[in-house]
Amino acid sequence: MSKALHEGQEAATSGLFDQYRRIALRRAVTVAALLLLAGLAFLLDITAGPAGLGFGDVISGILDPASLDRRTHVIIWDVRLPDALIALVVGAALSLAGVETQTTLNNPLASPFTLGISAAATLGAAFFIVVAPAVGGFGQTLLLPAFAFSFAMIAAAAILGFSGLHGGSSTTIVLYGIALVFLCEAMTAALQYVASAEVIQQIVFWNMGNLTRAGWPEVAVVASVLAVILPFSLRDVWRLTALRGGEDQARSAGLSVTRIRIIVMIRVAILSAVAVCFVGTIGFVGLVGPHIARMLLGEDHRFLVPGACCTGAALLSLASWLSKVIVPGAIVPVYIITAIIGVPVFLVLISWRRKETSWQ
Amino acid sequence: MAVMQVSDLGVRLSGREILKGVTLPTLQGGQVVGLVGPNASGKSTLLRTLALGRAFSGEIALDGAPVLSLSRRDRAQRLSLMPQTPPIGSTLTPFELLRSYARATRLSVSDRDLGQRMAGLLGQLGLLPDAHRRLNELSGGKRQLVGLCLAMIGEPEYLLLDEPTSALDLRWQLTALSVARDFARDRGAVCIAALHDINLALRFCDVLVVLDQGRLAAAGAPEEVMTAELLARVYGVSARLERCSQGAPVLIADAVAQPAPV
Repeated sequence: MSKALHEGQEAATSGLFDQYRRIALRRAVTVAALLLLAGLAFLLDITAGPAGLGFGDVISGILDPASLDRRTHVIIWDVRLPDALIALVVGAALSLAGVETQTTLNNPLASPFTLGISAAATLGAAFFIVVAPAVGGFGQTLLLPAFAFSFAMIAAAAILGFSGLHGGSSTTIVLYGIALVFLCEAMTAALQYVASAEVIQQIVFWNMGNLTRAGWPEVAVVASVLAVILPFSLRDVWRLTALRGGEDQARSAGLSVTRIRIIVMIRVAILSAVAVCFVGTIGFVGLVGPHIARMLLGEDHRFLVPGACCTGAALLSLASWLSKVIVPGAIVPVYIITAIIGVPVFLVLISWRRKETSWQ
Repeated sequence: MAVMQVSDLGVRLSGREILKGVTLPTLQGGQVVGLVGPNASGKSTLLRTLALGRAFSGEIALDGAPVLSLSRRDRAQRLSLMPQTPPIGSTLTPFELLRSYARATRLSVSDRDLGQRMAGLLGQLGLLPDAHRRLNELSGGKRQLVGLCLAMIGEPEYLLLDEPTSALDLRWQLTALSVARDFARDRGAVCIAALHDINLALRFCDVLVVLDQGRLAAAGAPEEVMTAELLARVYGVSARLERCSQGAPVLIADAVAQPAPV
């Protein structure tokens, strides 16, 4: 190679990478900003509530719990903090599950509940409430989420098993998921049909996503599951990015698309089943969180995966804060807030995204 | 130097026999092999069987070793396929896609060397100004060129191209095939390209393999293979090979010779 040609190639390589480094730095700063936003949303969330505690009271109560009287200690440490933390971790978990689902199924409408996990968890909870209405207290605290989780995992296993038999294509998984949603909803309706009015009320209330039913144990379980799953997601960021070049291209490069899809779906099933079994169905976070992250960060999953965790955490924390302040003196189930706010946000995103058809 | 041998290759898909007893001449490193034939003659199936490990009967050997003895990763590194469909129009950039492919397939190459390879390929195919533009802003032709970069980034010993010029204008048809030919020559790689444009095949290929309804119709030096009789029999056209003012063979198709087979 001549010296001039070699120097020309060195200059082209250097220019290419300099430009990329600037893009990567901008994205890293955006992820940091999203993390900060999630932190601010968390702080806003813990300061809200009917007890009338100010921002300073809450922060000093967290930093110096010994200075608190008994009532304020219970409010901050047993109510506010677990509620705010569960919003943070469930939001991050659902958004992480959402971004992985959308990428592996190549479907912008996919969310963690596409596999029918939410419907199956509701069926599990309904089944427990109908079959064992007398179980209360600690038994209910432990067994109800266990039933919801088990049903969700059985549903996910059934979908992955059936779709695996038919090649594991994204369309097959989505279609099986839709079928399962209808089946689970019909079975839940059948249980409600034979149940008493009181039991029906319990089922409906359980299904409404509500962060206030979570305590420290629930926070610990969801956070631990997220902490275990997230490194596996981060390990797969190059493969997930490569999938956005198209399934045919990825297969041609020697990537086992079906294997990646099944591994991701197992992660998604565990994340969303754990989230839904403790707090019920919380829609839109797993759909809108990833879309916001994609718009801000592009499709390089090294930035998108952590970014989506932050947008999901921030969204659910903000929704949790709104659920406490929107009706003075009352806490509205967060399920209602995410749906009411999520729909217009989603419509705006759709009209925005039409200009840049990113999905084919 | 890469050597590929394919003998008595048969492939069935959904109960249908797509390839039947296909035996190719021994393909040597440095050669560009044109795979031609009418629609649905089995060109893509042959390329996909070679690259993706689709079930087959018969024998495929690389450097004398059966392809089935290779691990999935080894096979993917030695054989690379550019599929017919270009990368989808996502918001990824060609730079990000190339880098993610290299890292997802665990290519053993340093960041610096990878950067040089990427810059070299993007430069050769006129994509440097588009390296940081989103794929959904690029034309279908440019995305096809990105697809060619993806197939070549791992510097495979066997480069398999499925209609690599179908979305390209004249200039980039010539550029893409020149780049593929230079790649084969410089690295001693075998390049097999499925082509519909017979004139491009005549110009760039050392060997032509003609498939017809899943069977080998002819194989050999381009001018020996592309006879009027073969074109009438395989394509159903009345055509002739003439020489242009520079002496290169040019195919002129005059008319449809017979109704297309049902």
